[in-house]
Amino acid sequence: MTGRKRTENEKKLFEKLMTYQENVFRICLGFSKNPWDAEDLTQEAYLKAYRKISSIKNSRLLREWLFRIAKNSCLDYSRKNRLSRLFQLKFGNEAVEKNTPESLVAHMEQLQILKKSIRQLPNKHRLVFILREYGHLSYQEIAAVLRIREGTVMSRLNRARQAIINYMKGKNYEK
Amino acid sequence: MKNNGSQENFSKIKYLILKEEEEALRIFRKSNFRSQLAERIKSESKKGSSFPFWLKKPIPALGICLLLFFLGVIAFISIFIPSPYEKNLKSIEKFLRQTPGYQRFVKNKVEDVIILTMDNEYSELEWAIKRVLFSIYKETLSKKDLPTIIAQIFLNLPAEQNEEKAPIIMEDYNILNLDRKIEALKKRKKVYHFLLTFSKIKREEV
Repeated sequence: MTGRKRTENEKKLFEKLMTYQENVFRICLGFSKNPWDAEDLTQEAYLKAYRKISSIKNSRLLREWLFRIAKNSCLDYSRKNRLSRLFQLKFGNEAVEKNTPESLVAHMEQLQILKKSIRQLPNKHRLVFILREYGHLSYQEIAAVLRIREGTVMSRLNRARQAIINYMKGKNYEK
Repeated sequence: MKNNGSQENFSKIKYLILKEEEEALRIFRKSNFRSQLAERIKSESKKGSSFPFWLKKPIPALGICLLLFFLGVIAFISIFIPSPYEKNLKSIEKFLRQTPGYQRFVKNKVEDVIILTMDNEYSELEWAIKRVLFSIYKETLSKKDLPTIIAQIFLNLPAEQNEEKAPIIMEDYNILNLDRKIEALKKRKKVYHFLLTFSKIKREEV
């Protein structure tokens, strides 16, 4: 699929897609535990986009199409790494504790708790939360990517935020 | 109040996310994402599709379905459709049941009949006759018995055998009589061929 030569139009479309790389990276960061995994996920998303670029019917919806691919790649990643993630998190913490000053350790711990709380969310809430808080997409854009109504986006976002707050309170975040 | 508390909590969470993003973007911008992606696209296009189409789920599933279908057809043919051998057997059985001496033959036993020995190998016809006679007579008959039993059926020979009489030797068997008798049956090809074969065996013995 990547072997086929691209037309001029497809190349232009792909160049336009490349301008959204930081947006895609932010979304992938919400799903991954560190920036390097997020970068790998971003690459995966772009590769899939490259393979499927000939299927784009409406170039105006390019951004939305790309974010949808990124979302699907991230969900696949979450599914595959469910078990290994817990194991790796432990090692991650140890590394931080050995090498960084106390304040940074505290910050990293809080971040780990936040990440865990995001992962605890049901998929539909997690998607909305990450697209909004990490991807900085508007409600309209989120609704278009997920193919749901704006009202649904707002209610899911509300629930996601509340769940995260409750989780972090439970883990004594306020200390 | 409660709302304000939640908002305050959430603003702290937002701050955490912001810090994480800043740090991550710093790392991302340092890495040469574009060139890494271009290299990966290039290497993939050289490799071609790593997943051959014939390993994708529908194709092996279709292959297995076709295999099961053909196995089912073969099983059906072998179980329900009789072999040519069985067809011959049934046609011979049907024919023998029509012969005049059949009922008498079934009631009486053939004993102490001596005939010329033939070679041990059975022809297909002889096997067929042997099986049919076994199904009627319920006893294993030796190859030498077969022609005599058939002869009894066609020539209406008496069923009881007298011990003092000389044993029946096939050399004395009247082939001409048999030929005449089957003249009338010439119209039925199967019967004709069967009897012709039978008479040929007798001629060879003589």
